[in-house]
Amino acid sequence: MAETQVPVDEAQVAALFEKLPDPSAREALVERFRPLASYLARRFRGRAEQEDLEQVATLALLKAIDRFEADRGAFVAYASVTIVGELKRHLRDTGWAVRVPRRLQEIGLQVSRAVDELTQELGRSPSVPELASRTGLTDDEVLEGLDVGSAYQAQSLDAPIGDDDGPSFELSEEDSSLAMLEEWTDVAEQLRELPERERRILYLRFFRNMSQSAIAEEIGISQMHVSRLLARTLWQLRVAAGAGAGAG
Amino acid sequence: MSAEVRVQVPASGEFLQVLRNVVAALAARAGCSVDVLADLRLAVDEAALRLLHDVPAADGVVVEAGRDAASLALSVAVTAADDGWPRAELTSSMGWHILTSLVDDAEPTTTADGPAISFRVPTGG
Repeated sequence: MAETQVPVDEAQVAALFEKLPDPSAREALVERFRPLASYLARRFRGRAEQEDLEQVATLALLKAIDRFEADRGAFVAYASVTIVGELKRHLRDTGWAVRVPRRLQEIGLQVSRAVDELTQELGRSPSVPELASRTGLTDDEVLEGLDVGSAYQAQSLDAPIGDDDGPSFELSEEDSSLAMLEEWTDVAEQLRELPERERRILYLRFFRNMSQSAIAEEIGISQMHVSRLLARTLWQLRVAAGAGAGAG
Repeated sequence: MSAEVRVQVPASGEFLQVLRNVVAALAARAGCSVDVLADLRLAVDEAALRLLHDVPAADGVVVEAGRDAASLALSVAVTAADDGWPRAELTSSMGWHILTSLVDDAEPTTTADGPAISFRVPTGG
């Protein structure tokens, strides 16, 4: 995806940060990272006017540049988190959630509950036809519900937007293979900065090979919430690993 | 794998949603569980983004899918010359570890379209 590539020459970027608050250095940084801001703004397309999103993302980029401290790790990661945070705040403030049609929101909630109920009852993850017969929806409606519920943008479903704090976890001895996760040095910094719950979900799914519904039960949130957090975390890691490229 | 379904989209991240939805619909019809469906969406993203990253000359992404007795077999390919695919470090990357955790039998391959990643997921309950 050439459009998402942000040329990052770390030495040059570091040199520009050294020169701050020199206006021309600031301008150079803005130009350099504007494609990242645009890319992130496009991730939220359809949720608000594109022009507004671009503007919010650019302002967030400026804020990130002004607040960044070199010892915080890679600027791309810091900027991404700041920009996405501001975009979400903007969407929340402008009531973006109503843009997911009411009917779809209800279907998403209904499906999410049915997934968790049936997983309990059957002792395994249900199929779409099973969900359809439980909810009285068609297979296609169930799929729509799964999609709206697990799309990481659609955070308003069973968790209020921004309320992603949930229960927190202390990493126990058994989680020492987090060190294994950290072998991937290009994203090690971002792994350490992930909220504990996200890091734990990542660990349980990819190092314990637990299913999403088993993780949901262990952590005490819905399967669709796990799905959403996983999708978002992977995406954040990809952004950190190279502005939207495959993680790794 | 003889393809039952073939979908091609332009090589751009914004079209991945289309691929994810098509694949999810196929998997639902094949009887895959919700867990498999959710993992499959992540896997399609992971495979497509990996290919787009490693094969910058790609101008299209093609997903082919076919069913056999107990699984749904998929390949995600990019339309481009097979230029140095797969990269030596592919299978030691974090992305690859993620992919192999999400789906079965993941392997880099080459289809008539170009560089590809194939994998399968279990169907039925």
